[in-house]
Amino acid sequence: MLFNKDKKRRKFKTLAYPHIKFLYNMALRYAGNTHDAEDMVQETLFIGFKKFDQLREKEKCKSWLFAILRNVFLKELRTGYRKQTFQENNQADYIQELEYIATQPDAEKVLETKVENKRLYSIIEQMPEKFKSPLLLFYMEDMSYHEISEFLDIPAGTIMSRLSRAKAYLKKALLKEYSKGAKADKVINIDTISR
Amino acid sequence: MNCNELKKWIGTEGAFTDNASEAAERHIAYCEECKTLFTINAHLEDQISSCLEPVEAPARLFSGIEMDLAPEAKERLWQRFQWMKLAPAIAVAILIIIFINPFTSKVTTLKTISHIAINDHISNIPMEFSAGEVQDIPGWFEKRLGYRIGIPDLGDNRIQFVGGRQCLFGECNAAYLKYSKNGNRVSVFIVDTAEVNIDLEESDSVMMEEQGHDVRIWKQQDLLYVMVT
Repeated sequence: MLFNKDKKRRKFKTLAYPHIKFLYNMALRYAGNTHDAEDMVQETLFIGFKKFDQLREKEKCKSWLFAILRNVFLKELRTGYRKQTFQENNQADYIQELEYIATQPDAEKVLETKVENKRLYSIIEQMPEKFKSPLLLFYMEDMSYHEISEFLDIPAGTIMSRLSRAKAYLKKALLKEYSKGAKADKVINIDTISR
Repeated sequence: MNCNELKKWIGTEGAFTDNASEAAERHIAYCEECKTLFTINAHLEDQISSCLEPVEAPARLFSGIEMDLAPEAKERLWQRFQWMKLAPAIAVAILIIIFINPFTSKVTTLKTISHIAINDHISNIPMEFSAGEVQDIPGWFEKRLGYRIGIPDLGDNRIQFVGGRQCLFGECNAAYLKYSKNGNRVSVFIVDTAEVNIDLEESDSVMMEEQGHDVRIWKQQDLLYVMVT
């Protein structure tokens, strides 16, 4: 029995360890900080090891561990978590914002502007998990819609819809950041001229 | 594709086929307004991609996981208790083996190492990084194993490096470097000699054939190298 436990431990490590980096990066975007992300991954691996006998197909270890991580994250959501309401016409709003920016005289400044990573992370952090996960898998793991659908075991149509809305939401938020930056520049210029 | 279709495509890009992407590019070639929308959207995509580049998991996370997965105190105590009961019988068995064949323990140890290496080689474990992804490979392993490895000189320029990962070699942690030679897998395991009780000089190189594989074992500066082809 003891030898079996050692064998189980070895087998689990062989299958699970290659996915630690992926789990950590996902956890980092869920939690927003390294310490909570590490705690989440540790808990995920611990639960995964305890339930290792439930993993039927070795090839699905990554998605299986990710499912555990998502559950750990959802369980740890605080009651004070600010739930962001996702509006139905996110894509339409984004295109509207994009057209507005494109018609501004200093539209090309957008291309020179870089939003701080921290700001982008905080926008993503506010997203509900069901939109955040497909978005992160798309950008961080370079997965296609079909791969995400298979990974999360969610219909491809649902993934397409959630991903489109998540991207539109994120890009619209980024465009608003650029607009804030542009307005701030104008205020500074006016003050300088007055003196 | 007209302007409205392009705006719809921008809102849901990636959902359509390559034909849609080509149609979009043809449209922006003659429509300046849409070209601006397309360019800004592409810039946003780049921003997001670059901000979300994966980062390395910190070494302390691996240590934490190792601790969580280590045998529990009760389990260790039980193992010790079992061994205490069996200790006299084991001592007698070892003495018998030593007196009958003094080299058995050395051959068995090399054989064990060979079997472990072949099993791991056959398992085709996925790599944690591919060639070119990590610049300082010894440093990468140092963070995970606690010691620096030396990249072996395999003396054959047909052997191409494929990737690496940390792995379990028996009961100890080891570095696993995967190579390819003429489409065949070549595995090199690197273990700290402190973890493996083997009597091998720096000049020694042991060649074995086990289970249809060639295994070469050598020692270099407190590291044991095991190559399986």
